[in-house]
Amino acid sequence: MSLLSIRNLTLKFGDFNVLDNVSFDIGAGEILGIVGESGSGKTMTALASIGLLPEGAGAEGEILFDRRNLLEMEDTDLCDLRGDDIGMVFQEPMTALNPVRTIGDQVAEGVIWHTKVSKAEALTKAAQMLERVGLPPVDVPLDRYPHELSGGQRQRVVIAIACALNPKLLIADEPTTALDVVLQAQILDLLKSLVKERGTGLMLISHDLAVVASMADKIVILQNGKVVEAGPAKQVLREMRQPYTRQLATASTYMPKRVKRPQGSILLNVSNATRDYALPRKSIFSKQTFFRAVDEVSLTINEGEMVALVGRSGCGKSTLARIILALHKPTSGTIELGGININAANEAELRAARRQMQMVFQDPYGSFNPRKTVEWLVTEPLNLLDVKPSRDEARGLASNVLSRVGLDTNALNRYPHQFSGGQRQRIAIARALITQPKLIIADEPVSALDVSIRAQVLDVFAELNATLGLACLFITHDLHVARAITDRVLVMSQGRIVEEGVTFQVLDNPQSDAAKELVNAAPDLAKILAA
Amino acid sequence: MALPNPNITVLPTRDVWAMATRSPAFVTGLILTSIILLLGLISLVWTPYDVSLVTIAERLKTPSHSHLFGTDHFGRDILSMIMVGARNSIAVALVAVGIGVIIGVPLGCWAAARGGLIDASLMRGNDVVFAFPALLSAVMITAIFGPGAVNAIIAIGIFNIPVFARVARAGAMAIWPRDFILAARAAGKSRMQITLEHILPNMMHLLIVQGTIQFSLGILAEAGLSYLGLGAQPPSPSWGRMLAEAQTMMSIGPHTALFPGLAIVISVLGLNLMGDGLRDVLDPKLSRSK
Repeated sequence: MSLLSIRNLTLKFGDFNVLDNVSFDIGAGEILGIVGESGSGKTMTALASIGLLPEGAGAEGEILFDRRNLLEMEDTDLCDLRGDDIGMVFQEPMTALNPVRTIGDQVAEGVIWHTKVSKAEALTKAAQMLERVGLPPVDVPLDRYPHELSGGQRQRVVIAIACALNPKLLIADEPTTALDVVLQAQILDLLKSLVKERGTGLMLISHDLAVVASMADKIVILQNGKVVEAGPAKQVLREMRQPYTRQLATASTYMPKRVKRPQGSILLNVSNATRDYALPRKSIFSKQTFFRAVDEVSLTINEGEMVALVGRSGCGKSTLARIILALHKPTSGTIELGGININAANEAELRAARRQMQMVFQDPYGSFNPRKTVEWLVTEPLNLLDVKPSRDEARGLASNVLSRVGLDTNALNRYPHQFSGGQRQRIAIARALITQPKLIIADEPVSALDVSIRAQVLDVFAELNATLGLACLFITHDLHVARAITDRVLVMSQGRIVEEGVTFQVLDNPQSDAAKELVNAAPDLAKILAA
Repeated sequence: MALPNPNITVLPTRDVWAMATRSPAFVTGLILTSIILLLGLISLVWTPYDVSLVTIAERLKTPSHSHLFGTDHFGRDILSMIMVGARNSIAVALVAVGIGVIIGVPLGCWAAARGGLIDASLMRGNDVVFAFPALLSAVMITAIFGPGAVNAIIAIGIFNIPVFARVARAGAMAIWPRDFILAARAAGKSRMQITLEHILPNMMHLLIVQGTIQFSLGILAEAGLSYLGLGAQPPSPSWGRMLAEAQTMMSIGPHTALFPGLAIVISVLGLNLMGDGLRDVLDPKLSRSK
């Protein structure tokens, strides 16, 4: 008898089927990976398995945990189960922890609640658990608050909370999506060793096939609430019987067609750019101290060149992008775009420079003012032109760029919330294109998108590079993306550029420690399946 | 990986209306407020009796067909006085809120847009105004500059300025770090343009909720001032003064105090319910009901 056994689970909100006849089993010590794109019902499966379905959800079928049907249990009985027999690890470690309580208290909380031990005993247990997840109290005392920890450390605390009572089943919903690849590898290792050591069952939910392939014994592939394929993970992924499985796998390693272009002249020249941020003073009398986010960075981008900037989170990539775009002033150093020094530029020169470079952001939801129409949003950068076009001209330009990125003209009168994530990212690219720039700086433009949408957006970039000769600085922590779309790569670590070269050479044969770390940590589906 | 910020919810206007009308608090508030507004509006063209018409023979009549709310100690029709008083109260509160919005919101937006020294000094100035108890200071101002509707408006208005400045600053600060603001800056927009085009439309809901609540406080403050004889001067009727005059008549004509009291309660309750209902819809984080 397996630990968790879901039988013909159907979940409805009104008439809408979120899950349709889903069945699977998880045994003790077994890792089950659930893969699917957004909206496929992954998270609902997790919430159903811990009895935390939102109100208004109608569930049919059976969720048998230790032979008891969770769907028929009273909430008080479920409370005894949650945190004790079933632990949960969430995606976003910052919001999963209570910011005003110490990490020791938060780990001990469940222990006190479920085992009725004294606080001192619970804290001892919490200390042991934190030590086990790699946060020994000697280095990270129990009285630290979540904001004093880094993202990876916070996720370790979340795992400690979930595992403190030695649950039989652990549910991890995208536990590493908010982390960079190096931290991802560490957290996955930790989960794997905990499961092995304690015989816990693990439900690992992810959109990343490579992550699941490296971890899971069994895999369930969900599409629109239906199980497309299920079985032993490696076998399913090697055979790829279902077209949807194949589609997911090809999309995740998708390489758009690139046209080799002759190298143009130097477009962007950054020399010795440095940016310091003032740290809060310890007392009003102490000396001001600084954090150096970007440290003497020099780089050039030629016309029509696709360059990747890769590095771990917090290494200064985004700050560098903002310095180049003249949104932040560098503490020292110069940035020249098309011969204009943008730090010393006057108003008119700066406008001219800004026409030449535009940006695309990571979050397709946050990069638009939700109260404006697409027409208004896409034409906003026309503000940079010296002679403002009439409304009709602006509309014409907007429909031109929209059709370039594969959207219909009738998008113009609609609002951003009426579009999907991938469509919004196309609109963001359209907005960046409208001033006919020579350089686009894209800050993680595809990392918030599903793999199939990601492939389409990468196609748009490749096509623009081929037809318009657009140069692009791609900021990413995903090496697949760097490999797929760029000619040259810059590896950044702790504010410095530590390695630079032709993309596939650097990624196949990294020299610097930072680059090696990234390459080794990045999960690679082909390698995992070959092993 | 930055995920969509759940702290800022943005709903299109028609959805807000649809959701608001489903909230019992909002609908009740809307109905109560509309009654008072309607009374005030009708009084502009028609009242049952002239409010300055003194008929001593008809004094202290209890409610009847000819005088629905009865008459006061001068024989004036109470319903007519309440109607004209509604107009006065609304006018004073509206202009006072207007002063707060027109001066406070730009100050708050400016502080948020510039940050640093400008922000710090503006907000500390704000704190100083906040440190004075609003109604007491309004009493002081009207006592110095003379009682009257105009001085009451100014006195109440001044204390609305820091309220709106604070709300506007907090709202704007939450929007400034967002990506679409960066995009606007990359499009060469000035801080002023960004504030007008991006910041204000996205914090309108905060201002609307605060406006409703300040409006009810304004009505209360006006009633308080005119109760002390510092608001609208006779013969122009006002709810506060009607209460003050009724105080001595309580034992012989309790209805003279009842109706102005009810008018104040209904308008303040109505506006507060409306504000609460709107807040539940617009700002789910502060919602008290589920």
